Amino acid sequence: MISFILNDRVYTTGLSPGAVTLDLLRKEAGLTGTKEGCREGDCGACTVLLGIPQQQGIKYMAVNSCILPAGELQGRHLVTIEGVNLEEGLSPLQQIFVEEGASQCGFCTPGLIMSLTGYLLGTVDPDDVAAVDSLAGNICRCTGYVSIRKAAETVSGKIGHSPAGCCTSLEHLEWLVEKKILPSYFPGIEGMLQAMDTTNGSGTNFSEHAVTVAGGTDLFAVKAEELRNTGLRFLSGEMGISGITISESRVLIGAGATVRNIIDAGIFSNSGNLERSLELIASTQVRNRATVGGNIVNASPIGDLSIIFLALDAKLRITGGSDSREVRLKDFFRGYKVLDLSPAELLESLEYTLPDSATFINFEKIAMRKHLDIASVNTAAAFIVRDGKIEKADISAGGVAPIPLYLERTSAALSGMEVSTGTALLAVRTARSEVSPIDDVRGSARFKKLLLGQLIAAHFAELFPQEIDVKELL
Amino acid sequence: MKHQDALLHVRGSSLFVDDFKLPGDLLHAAVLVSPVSHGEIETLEAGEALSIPGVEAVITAEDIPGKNQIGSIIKDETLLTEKELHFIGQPVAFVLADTPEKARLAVKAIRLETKELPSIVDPRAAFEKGMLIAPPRTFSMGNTYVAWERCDCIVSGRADSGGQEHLYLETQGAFAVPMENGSIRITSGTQGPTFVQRVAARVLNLPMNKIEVDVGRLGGAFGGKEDQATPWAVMAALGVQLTGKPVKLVLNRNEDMTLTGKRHPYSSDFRLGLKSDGTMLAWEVTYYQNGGAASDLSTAILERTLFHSTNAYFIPNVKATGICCRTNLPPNTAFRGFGAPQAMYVLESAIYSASREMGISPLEIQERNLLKKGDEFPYGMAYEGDEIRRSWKKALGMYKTGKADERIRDFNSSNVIFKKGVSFMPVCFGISFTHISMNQANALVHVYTDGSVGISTGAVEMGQGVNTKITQVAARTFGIDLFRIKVETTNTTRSANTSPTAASSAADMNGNAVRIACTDILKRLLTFAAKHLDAAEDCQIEMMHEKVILNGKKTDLEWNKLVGLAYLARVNLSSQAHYATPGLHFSKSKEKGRPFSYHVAGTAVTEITLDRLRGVFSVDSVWIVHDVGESINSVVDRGQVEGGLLQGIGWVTLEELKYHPDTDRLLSDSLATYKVPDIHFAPGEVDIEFLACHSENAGVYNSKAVGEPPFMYGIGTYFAILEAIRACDPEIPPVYSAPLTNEKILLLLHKNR
Repeated sequence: MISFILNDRVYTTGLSPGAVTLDLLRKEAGLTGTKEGCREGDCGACTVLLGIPQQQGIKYMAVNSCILPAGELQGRHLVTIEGVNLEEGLSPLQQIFVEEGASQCGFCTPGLIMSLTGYLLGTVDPDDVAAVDSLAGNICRCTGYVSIRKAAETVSGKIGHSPAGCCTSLEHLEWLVEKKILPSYFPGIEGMLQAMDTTNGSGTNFSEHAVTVAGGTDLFAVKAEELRNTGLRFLSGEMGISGITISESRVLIGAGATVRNIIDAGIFSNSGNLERSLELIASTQVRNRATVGGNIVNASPIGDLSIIFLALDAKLRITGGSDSREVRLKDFFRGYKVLDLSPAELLESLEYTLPDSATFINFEKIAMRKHLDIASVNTAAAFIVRDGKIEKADISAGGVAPIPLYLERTSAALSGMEVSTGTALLAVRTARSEVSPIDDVRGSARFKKLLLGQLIAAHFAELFPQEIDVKELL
Repeated sequence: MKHQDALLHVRGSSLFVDDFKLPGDLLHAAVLVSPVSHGEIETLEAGEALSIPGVEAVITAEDIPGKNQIGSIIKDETLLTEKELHFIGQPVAFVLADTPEKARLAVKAIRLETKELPSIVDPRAAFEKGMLIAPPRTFSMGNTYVAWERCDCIVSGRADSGGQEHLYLETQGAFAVPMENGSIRITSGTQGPTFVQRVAARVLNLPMNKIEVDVGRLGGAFGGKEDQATPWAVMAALGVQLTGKPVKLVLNRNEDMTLTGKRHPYSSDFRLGLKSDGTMLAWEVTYYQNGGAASDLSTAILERTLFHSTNAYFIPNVKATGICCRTNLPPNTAFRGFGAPQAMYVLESAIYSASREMGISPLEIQERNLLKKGDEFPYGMAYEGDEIRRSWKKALGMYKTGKADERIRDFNSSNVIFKKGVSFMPVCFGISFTHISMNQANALVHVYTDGSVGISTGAVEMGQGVNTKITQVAARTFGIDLFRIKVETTNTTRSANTSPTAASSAADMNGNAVRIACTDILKRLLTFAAKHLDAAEDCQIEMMHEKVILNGKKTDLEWNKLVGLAYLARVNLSSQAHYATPGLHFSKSKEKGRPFSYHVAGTAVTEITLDRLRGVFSVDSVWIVHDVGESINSVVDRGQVEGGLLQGIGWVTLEELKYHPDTDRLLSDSLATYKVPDIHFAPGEVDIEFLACHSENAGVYNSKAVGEPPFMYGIGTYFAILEAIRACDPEIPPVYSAPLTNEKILLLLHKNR
């Protein structure tokens, strides 16, 4: 049995841990405000809030219920659109949506309201731009987004700043209740969760054949049906694998750390455009769930984090029973979805050297659509440059090989070269000769090869605008 | 007034098809479809599927008691195929089981063996083989043959536009429940309840009065639920008839994308002749329409293409030919614009091509040839408005006042990687169903004794705000407050023989029917009121702000009280009214007439920034001057313009349908592989100005239809990108192949690598 709090009451279900939350809500609990749009985390119509108890308070975040296995609900607070409705009338958020005409057919509307509520729960200092960004995972086919954008901007302006020091605090919840963004039961949830007996949760007992689930954002997008009645091992329930530690020169990231955790930890604040680039990875809802380990072990040839960490020359810590070993990320991918990882082993953490001031880093990604899309080609580059010379280059590329590719030859060819237009052109040529992409739904082989060259050029154009004549790279 | 449905939507309490609580013996249906694009069934064996516990029935063509025929204009489509397979996704059978999962599992357990035959997915190839859905049609005016000689510049070429997935957020679905005496009640996500009723009656071999169709609301439709909501509703009804139990059929996203038709891809040949000053003299165009495997609405859509072959321009000599080609894709269907966007895209391509040939700006050619009042369309109707030129002038004025030209020139000369491009897009769209008989609607209005009002019409609410507008029309006609009015579900027992909610005309026609019905009731009430107030026979009496006004003076007689008294005096408080759009006629033998009640016009100015290095673009701004007549609801109308625009931009840039080159299987069959605009893709700025209304038209209370025309403003983005590419390198030849995806842009920019 899985026990959790659904909106304002304790809810226990006999559904299997692999059943998705969307089905639990609509078919079992009879809460139909949460809509099914795509069942793969790409439209946001099913957005709900997941509240996870912290040492102090509860951390709420927007997630896609269609790819959230029920096993993840154990001991947590699940909030649907019905759970943010006030007893009477509309919340200011709902009111602004009506005023601005931000709801037409209405099918995407509950998801949008939940995403924005999640945003307001997750910040004490709301601003226009971030409020709009929080909706990048919600597709609306009717409005053209003009009114939705206006609603998001208006609400963040209207609500003002929370007096709370921290968004997981009781004070923040009370403030949101006072602002009528949340109904009055929210501040009592922490106590209700503490009173629940959560020792009996499923997901903690798993067989050796169990499928390991980290964020599940790809697993449940691709094969939820298969996983419904399969034994699952939920890593999120296991302690100690989601921490992020920044020491003087090293960054250690637990495999269970989510993209959101990376953003919150600010590990990329001095790493070129990496911090900014994280918003190009999936959507708010997916970033709240998708993990570093999952992205790497999933071995997708265009995995954005794999590409970034390849250029950072990261090392992986792998455990299996009593053994523990280290492997460089660039040696980890052996072939399409083939890894240097035995079934008994688990990726525990990832570690890389904190870039110093001589390191220049850039990430480029082009997809069919800029946001919430899988790359046609993505690439990251890290150059250590001293006295105008490239001491070391690490360049990676996705979408151009069966694996997230470390561009061995290109990286080597640049070592010792002067930062110049000629070097950039050499990098472009070498990279293009080093890859053999295939035709698929994300583009033709010819396009991807051309695109990789352009993005390699873009690394130089972005990092060395003074030293490079961009015209020569076009 | 705000969108009435939004009050429920924001709380998640509005009900869509899949949200209703249904009886415990409900059966769920799942559909077995053709896995091949062309072939024949060799074996269909359902034994294993039937042995799965919980599976109730496997229904095939043999089980159909009536006609196995769901075609609308041309009767060429089966509900369930008997032998021949014409497209991937063509329904072969459906399973009924106690859960949707079991139904889908059982579908997989059915043994379907097929013989594959050669397929055709390209409309030109279909034309070569004589695979036509209907004979070609030609609209002509003047004499192009003679006119070519007078032209100083003639450009010719080919323009292609791709299909488009509707991607309504709510997938197709319906449920049906048994009623007494063999009747069946269907709740369907359809734009055309009467069509569902008619086809269900035909397939189930029942009179139409035994089929009731009810529609609450749709989670988006955009034309995709005009004809193609029907099969699922009919299957559900058939399941009820065969099992006696309620049946629900809701497609999941992947099924919806694979099984249903889309906007028609077109491949067109054009030839445009101009004088040296840019005056267009002659226009010849042939449209090869990819109709898919069955006719659906293709012939009507192609007809609208022909009606819009000259868009907002006057060209004295025209020959436009439309060829409806039968291919092995799912039957393509209605989608916002209904063939007009494809036509306008071809003409803009030709104009752009001429501008490059002549070394002048496309804007010069566009402006010189805009329709003036009295100019004739190739189909014989004169342009009766002045909104095209007024909107253009206003848009151009905004552009010039903002010194956009100068700003963009400066930007382009000082930027290496980024280049800007601008385009103007005038739109002139005819309003009315081109099938004249469809231009009718009815309304049933009840005033209850407490003063509240219930209204039924054939209009279906799908987000476009038609119910909100109808509420406003009723309140305005009665002279009472909005809160008294409730628009009921769209139901065939209250609104019979209705046209689908389509052609942007639902508010116009149903609104007018409501106005007539309300006027009728009000007349009776006021006649009674005059008597009650002992007023003279020639008195002036009216209802305003809920009060009876007698000879210009407020009386104590309020709406509520009046209604109650009138009831006691046995006054009829209900009315059913009919509206037929006046003045429409068209001769198909001559291809001339007056098919449209009026035209909607406007102009969009689009500015984009192109990243030359990476081959991607963003839309900076779109300014639109649009003609809505006297808007009944500006929030609703603005929303239609904004939403239509972005769908149009998506169609010409982002949204690409990809098929497997060997198997014809749709590859872009999910939201992960078919990308529609998201909040970041939307233009940075959208400015909409409604044109002041100077004229009378047939829209209700002089408003104008708004659903479709704004879609075509999106076409401007295509040509703004071409302009930015030209700013990168004038030697790059433009391409006319929509959508202009990131891939196409990059390959264009770097052809030599």
